Amino acid sequence: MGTVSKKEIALLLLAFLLPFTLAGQAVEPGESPSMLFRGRIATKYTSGFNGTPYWDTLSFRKGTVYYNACLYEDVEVRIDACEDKLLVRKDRNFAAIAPDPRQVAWFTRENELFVNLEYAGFRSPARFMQLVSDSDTPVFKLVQKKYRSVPGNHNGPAYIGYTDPEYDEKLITFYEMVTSFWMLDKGTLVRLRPRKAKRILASATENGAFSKTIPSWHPVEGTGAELVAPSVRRSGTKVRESLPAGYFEMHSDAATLTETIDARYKNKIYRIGIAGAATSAKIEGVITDDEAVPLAGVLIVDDGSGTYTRSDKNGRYCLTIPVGETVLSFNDPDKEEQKLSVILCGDGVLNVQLHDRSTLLDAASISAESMRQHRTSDIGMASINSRLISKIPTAFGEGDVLKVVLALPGVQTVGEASAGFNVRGGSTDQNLILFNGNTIYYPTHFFGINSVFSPDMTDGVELHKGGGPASVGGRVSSVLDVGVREGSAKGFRGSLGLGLLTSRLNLEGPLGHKTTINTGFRTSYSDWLLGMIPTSSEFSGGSASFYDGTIVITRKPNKNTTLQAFGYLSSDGFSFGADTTFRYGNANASLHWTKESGSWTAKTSIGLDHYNNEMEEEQNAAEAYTLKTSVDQMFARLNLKHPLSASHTLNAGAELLYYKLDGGHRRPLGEESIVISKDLPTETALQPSLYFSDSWNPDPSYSIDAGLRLSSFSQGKSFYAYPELRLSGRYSFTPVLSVKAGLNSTAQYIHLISNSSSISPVNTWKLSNAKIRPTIGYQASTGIYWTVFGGKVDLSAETYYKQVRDHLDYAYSAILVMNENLADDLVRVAGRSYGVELMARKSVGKLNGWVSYTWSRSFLRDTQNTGLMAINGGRWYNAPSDKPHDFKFIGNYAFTKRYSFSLNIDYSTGRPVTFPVGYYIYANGARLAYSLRNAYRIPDYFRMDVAFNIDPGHYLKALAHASFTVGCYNVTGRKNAYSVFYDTKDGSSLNAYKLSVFATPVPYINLNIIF
Amino acid sequence: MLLFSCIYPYTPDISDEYGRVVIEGDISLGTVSHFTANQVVPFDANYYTASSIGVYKASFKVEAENGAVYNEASPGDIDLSTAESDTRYRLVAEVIRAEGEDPVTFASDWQAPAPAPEIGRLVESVQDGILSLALNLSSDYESGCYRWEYEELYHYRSPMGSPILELDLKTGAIKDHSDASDISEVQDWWKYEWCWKETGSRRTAVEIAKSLQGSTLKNYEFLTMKTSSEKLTAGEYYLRLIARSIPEAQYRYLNAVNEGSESMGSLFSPVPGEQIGNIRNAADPNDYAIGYIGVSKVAKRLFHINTLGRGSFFNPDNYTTDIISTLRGVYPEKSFNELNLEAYKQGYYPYMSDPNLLWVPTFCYDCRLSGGTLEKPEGWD
Repeated sequence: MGTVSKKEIALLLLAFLLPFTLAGQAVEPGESPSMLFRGRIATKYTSGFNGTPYWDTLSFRKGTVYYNACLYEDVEVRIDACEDKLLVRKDRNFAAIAPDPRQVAWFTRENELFVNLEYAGFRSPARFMQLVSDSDTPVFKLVQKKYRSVPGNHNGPAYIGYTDPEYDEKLITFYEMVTSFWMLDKGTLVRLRPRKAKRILASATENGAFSKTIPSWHPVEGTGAELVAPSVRRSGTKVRESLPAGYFEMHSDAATLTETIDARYKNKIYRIGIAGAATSAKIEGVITDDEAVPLAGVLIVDDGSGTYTRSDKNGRYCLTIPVGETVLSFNDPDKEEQKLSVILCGDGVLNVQLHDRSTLLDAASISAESMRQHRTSDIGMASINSRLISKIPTAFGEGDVLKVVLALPGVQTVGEASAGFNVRGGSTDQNLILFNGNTIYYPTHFFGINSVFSPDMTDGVELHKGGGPASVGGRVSSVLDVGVREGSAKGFRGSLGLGLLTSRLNLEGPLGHKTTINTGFRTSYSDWLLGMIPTSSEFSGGSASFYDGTIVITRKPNKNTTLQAFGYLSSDGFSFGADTTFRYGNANASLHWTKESGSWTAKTSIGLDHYNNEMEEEQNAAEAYTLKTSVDQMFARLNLKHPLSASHTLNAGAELLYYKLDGGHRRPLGEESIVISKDLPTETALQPSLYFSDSWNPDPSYSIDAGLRLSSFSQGKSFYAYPELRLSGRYSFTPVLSVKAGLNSTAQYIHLISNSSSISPVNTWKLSNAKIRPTIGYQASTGIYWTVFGGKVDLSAETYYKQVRDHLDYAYSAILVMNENLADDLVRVAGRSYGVELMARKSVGKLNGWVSYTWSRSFLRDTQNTGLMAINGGRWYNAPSDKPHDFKFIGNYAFTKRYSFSLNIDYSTGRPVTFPVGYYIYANGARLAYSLRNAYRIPDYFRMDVAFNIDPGHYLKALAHASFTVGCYNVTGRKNAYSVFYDTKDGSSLNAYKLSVFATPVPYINLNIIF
Repeated sequence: MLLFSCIYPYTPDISDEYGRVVIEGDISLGTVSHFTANQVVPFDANYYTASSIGVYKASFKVEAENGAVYNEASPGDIDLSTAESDTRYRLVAEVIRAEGEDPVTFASDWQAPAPAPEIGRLVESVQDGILSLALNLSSDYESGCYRWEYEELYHYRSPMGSPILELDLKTGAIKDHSDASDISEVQDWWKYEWCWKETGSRRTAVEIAKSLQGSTLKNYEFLTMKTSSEKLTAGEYYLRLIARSIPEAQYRYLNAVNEGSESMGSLFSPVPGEQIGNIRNAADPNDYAIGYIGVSKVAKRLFHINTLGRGSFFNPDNYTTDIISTLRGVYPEKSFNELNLEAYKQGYYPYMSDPNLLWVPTFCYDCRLSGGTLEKPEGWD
């Protein structure tokens, strides 16, 4: 097995890396024109008044380029001193190209050598400098030019004209030349003062160190005392085989065991650490994006050993792998995949920068998914591409996290515009919804149309359909972990989103050198729409509005420490007419402290979660009242991570939750109200938990994750404790064909009290106590994963069987509001569900997306009552979320990089309902006789949505970029039934009706402005 | 969402069996209890009829735990005026749902009688042309739940008159003006008759409430009417309140039955379900009849409300001789099918058998046809 895997890996490497072999193999331009000449067409300057924008001449000169670890000889080069770019062309018959300057290690222009100092690891004022002195203290020459507008003489501000047909060609400028000299002094670039420069240059010239010919060395690799440069040929002659030791060291202390490498370029060999006797070594570092913002959740896989890990919320990772040559893969759904060749000699630091992907769902996405499928033991876990969120059509256009979650197989909802979701047959309260570690108790605005997560603030969404890792717990069905995005460290920026019902504003940027801030605010302006409803309507006088705000402040006092403060606040209010008003809100705050020490990573979090709701009932002045309840939760968590060996990674930690549930307060409303005040007692409880887990990756072909979580719960005299198991394993037959299995158990100590179809804002939460036992869930699952068509398509099939005991259903005629004896109205039920989830996902090319089909069943059975009083006589009955057939299609076709078309299709069996089956006369009226609980179904659900997306243009100098989404939700106008009900129209006849929430096509337009 | 949501007629495909028995009534100590039995009918019928909902045959008896048995005095009526209050009772019903079927015996759970509540004063208030009546109930029964019904009696002025016929309700004498040659002869044909009307009893809605203030239901508004109602035209309005305390389980049952038929389909409506009361099939514990049989002593109280001056009266001056002319023109030569019959109704009792004589303006009728009496009914003093 291992042999096969290595061959596969070797073939992959050969296929992808051959053009850029690390030994500096010479490549004829004609043999691989797609690499060096694939860059952007060079900036074209249409005029100049004071020389040229180029280094010193307009002319191209013959040269050699070391690009992407490959040597391109006999090409023509020119240097753009304005944009710090190298321009190349095969000859005068070809257009000049500006290859990606980050991949150019060095190049020559006739007898001059230019080096990329950023590539070599220096913080340099420019990428390319000319090496003018090859002495022990090298001296570089830098030419920088700037353009300026000439007022009144040309077409406006200082635009650079492009030959790209998408842009107008404008221009204007003269050029201001700045020539400076720099010296490499003890590993640091030092700018020479004019007088000193003259002296040094004169001295160098006198001593023969200053040369106008190509110096005898060039930089390729930037670290390590034994730095060896690749063999480079120029015109058939090797120019240099080695560099002076320590020439480009980042640290003056060459004896330091831990070297820091900023790996920003593909296809280089990164030599890490100093060789010793150890057989394994530790690589650690920080993964950031283009703007140095840490990336959480990046999957790092050692292709050699199969060991993997994920970066934490601060982008930090730590991996212990065998010493020697290997390839590390860095995968993030939003970023380009990074594969780095590493020669691991000893412990070291490898910081990695991942770049944005240029198109939606390109190869990186599939790579990340494939990696998860074939390199990790995760089963029943799905991550959501944050870019995808804005592409999936929604009812009113604004991208929404929960809508994307609902597009995943195994995730269902009871109907449109309903809050909450059901995972693998579970109820809505069995999902732990975390927002940057804080618990969200009511996740939607606007009756479920919008989630509480602003799309601008989220970063990385993971759904665990099997209870989650050992570090989290408390809900028996799933964990939805929504990350928050840190602010940009590279200057202030923002975005503004305008939709039909809501607008949102996002601002972010640095606060000093070590602190960033990211804030987002949303508000609705729907009340004016509701004001247009005719006064004759029963909804006249209604209102609906919300706002929410998010803030995250991150400070990194040093490279090993991260402090973060997070806050979230939301408020909702709506009324169906003038009689009943609902208000509710979430408030969350937390502090996170992450510290790395040696191979240990510790993260400590403390925080507060608050949810409150209020209802005002004014239909009858004598009975008018207000009703208030709230949930408060305080938490403290400690998570530790430590690699025990090359194949074992330990995770351990503790969590303490403190609940304070306000039972409810009823107060009279108005002077005429005769309602008396009533207060239910406040409940408090502690929920301490301990956990530990081990990820064992002995071989690329298989791995096992095993964890145990010891949760306990104490409320008054009631005490419960349960060991929760988290076990999953993987076996890969080939690198593209794997099977997995998992087993987990979870305990849930807090329950949502709701017997409506959709959870309501005024539903209350209830803690377990002597009468209400914790809900316990068990789930076993298996999966097979197959990547086909050369890695373009991922196929997966997962099966599961789940059992739940002591779940809560409701007695006939249950009273759930302000009921001090609530436990008497609750019914303990057992649950079981099983299903198969099939999915095919294509993430490469212009057409990408996924199609999934889920067959599943979910049942409940009354285990508390017997005989007639048992629900449905004590037999198994359909759970409210039982929808056997579920088909979903998500597709996006990118015509160009800017224009794309999205199609969304959703079909599912109608949800179970309890239907009236007849009527009778009782209490002087016609009454409805009902079927057994959930014995019937509403009609099947079908919906198709379309959207046309226009992404921002490529105007580099534009002040703002705008993107549009024009779409239509439910384009076929199908009248899907939300519910079926009966009404006595004239007092004697009963008529059946169905309520369709979105009964017509819902067109929308959304505008996003990024500035 | 409010702009895009819609409600459409829908015909569900229902295949359940029907015919579940429904038993209604309460065991009321100290008075006559009335019980009925009917059945659930299929939903595909838009209109129900007495024949479709009724069962073929039913008999009732009340059993006391001390051995006493109370049988029907008349169909559905059981006299419990002598029943003792220190024992438990249940209803036993033998029901033949349809002809040819075997009888099924149902029995309610044994229950101790709830004490009769105390009926406090009736509170009147008038606002915006609406008269509101609020009741006060109190009891030592701890549930704080009440069920009540009421009966009404009022004296009212019923308009009488026709340009064609003149009827004296008290003597039965009829004058026929159809041959009058001059319409002026019958210009003064309007008159009024004073009638009594008894409403309520089992024809009014039975209401329930749970006290929000311990076991006292205070100033609970339960009846409203317009001040222009005919009930208030004569100044004599009687209201008899019949109230009982009920256990919370019965309150919940009745409340859920109401909500299950009225509050459905909205976003946050409770999931409906069949309510199971306290009536079981005596031979099959997994079978039940719909309904909840309560056991209680009953409190009654008669209120007399002086409404003189509140009601508005019929004004014949609003009607012109054109109506009279029309009526004369169509009688008896013209077919009534050519008339706008919505404006007319069957009027004079003695001529009900002759359709050509039945049609009079809607405001002009024999009060006896709508349940009125010329004499005050008994039992209201």
